[in-house]
Amino acid sequence: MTLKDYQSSDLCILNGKITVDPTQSAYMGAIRLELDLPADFAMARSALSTAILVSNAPVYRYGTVLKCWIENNKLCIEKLTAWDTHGSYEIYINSAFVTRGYRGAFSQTPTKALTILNTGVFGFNQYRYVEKDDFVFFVASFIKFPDYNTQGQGPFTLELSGFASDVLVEIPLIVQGTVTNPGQKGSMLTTGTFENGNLTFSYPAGANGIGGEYSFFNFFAVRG
Amino acid sequence: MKLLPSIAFNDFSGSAGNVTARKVGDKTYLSSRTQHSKKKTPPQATVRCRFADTIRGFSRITEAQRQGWASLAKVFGIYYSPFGYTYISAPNLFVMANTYRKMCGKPLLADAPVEMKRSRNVIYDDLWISPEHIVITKVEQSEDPNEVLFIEMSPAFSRGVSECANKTVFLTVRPTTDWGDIDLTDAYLERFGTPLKYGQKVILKLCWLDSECGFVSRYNRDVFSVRELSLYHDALYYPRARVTMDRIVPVAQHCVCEEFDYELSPGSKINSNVIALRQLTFHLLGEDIPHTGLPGAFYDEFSYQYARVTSSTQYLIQSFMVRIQNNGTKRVRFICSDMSFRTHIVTFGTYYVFN
Repeated sequence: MTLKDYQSSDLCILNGKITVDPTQSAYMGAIRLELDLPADFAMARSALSTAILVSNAPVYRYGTVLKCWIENNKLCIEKLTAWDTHGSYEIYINSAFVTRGYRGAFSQTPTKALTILNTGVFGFNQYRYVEKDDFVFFVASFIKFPDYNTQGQGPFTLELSGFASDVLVEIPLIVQGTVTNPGQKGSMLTTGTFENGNLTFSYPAGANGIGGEYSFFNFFAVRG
Repeated sequence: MKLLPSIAFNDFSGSAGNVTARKVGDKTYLSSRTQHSKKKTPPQATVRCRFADTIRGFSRITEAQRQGWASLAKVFGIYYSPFGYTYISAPNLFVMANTYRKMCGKPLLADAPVEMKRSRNVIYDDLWISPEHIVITKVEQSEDPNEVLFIEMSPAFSRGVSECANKTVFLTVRPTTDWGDIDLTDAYLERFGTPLKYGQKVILKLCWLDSECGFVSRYNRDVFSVRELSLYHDALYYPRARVTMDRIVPVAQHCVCEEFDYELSPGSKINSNVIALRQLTFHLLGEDIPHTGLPGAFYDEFSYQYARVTSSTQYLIQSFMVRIQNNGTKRVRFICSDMSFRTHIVTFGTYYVFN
């Protein structure tokens, strides 16, 4: 398995997807999931970061946010078994990892403006976009977003002006909508891909209630 | 029969019975002889009991175990200690190892260990020793899980600092650093009762100690003057941009904060945090947690972050804005983007922070 990475001693970005088979004996005995990082990885230990579990639950691929961190040159991920009965699941890592203990002044985080080109389908509620030489950070929640009940499966494309064209990353989208199904655990999820500055995604067949207002994402991605 | 010279009317200095005479100029002064007090402070009592228990322990182990310690002592032969060349006997080695083991919270070791790993010096970047802060920074982290930071200190009450350099007393043991920091401020106050004063000298002794072996051998021991600037880089004390439970008022109007650990890192400004909230009353819009004042690095900033619901619809993901206000308003505000604040949530991760 390969993770795309940006490394420095106090900030690392990792992008990638891990497939987990909960029927494996090694998984069943583990209290957390661990991946060995290369011996020369720049950061041996990090503060707490995140990963997103996307299950194989029928239709909605329910999932949640997991704790994720670097410890002893390993990438450690919280283990949750709530969706193990649905078979293999995926963990998306599109996160930053930092160290702590800094004493000094801070500068403000510079942001860059983005423009939605297809405003008939998409509209930001809130967003912040940070573009650095080696990576980007993008968090957005939407007031206007495709929903399955009125717009079907898609595919849909969020067309943006201003987003880095050299970012290629697959991210989970939290498309919970406003209704929760009985017995539901986690949020309704789908995945999308940023490529050439645009985000493309679709919904599974029969995903009633998925998407719409308040859908959101939050990720770091390595450029190039 | 003991013969006592008469000291009262002669040119004499010394002690006889309970009387001490000292001659100053052409006068002789008499005073009652100093008596050692039986009183002791609780830490002294603890140390004396611990030491006595350990000494008695050697007589309680088996002959085979004593031979094991004798064999180990022979390995050392004559070794160099900070006080010169020393020959260590089996009982002394047993007492030394177990005394330091006890300080590290380890039980008495009856069987001699296979080897005795020596303590080693501590590499660090800087330290502040002032009345308000005793903080060592960028301490090199040990990769050996058995190693702990063993720290002794002593304030010097006179200018004869060199005479009390070996009078440091046990202060604390730290299994690890806080991201390279060791903050001894509270431990010092607890141990010595009064804060340091500017200009005062203080002795600091520290080492990475293998807590299984308890063999203090190599260590840093330095005498420092208490001052405002850091000792090596002459820097004013600058706190980490961190918010923890002790800086907030956890029970607010509508919710209780059960966990709060938030810190800023550079580049430009990125947080890492974990915050757990439990709602007390049904209030969908957002929650405020007051704080009691934060480091100057905080003014008014916010981040958008993932939150995980840990009640009702378990594991639901929400988007939260965490806003820390440290200007005219002193609070941490949590706003859920879909305006549906749940009963119990935890938000965590690493995110950019904006102003």
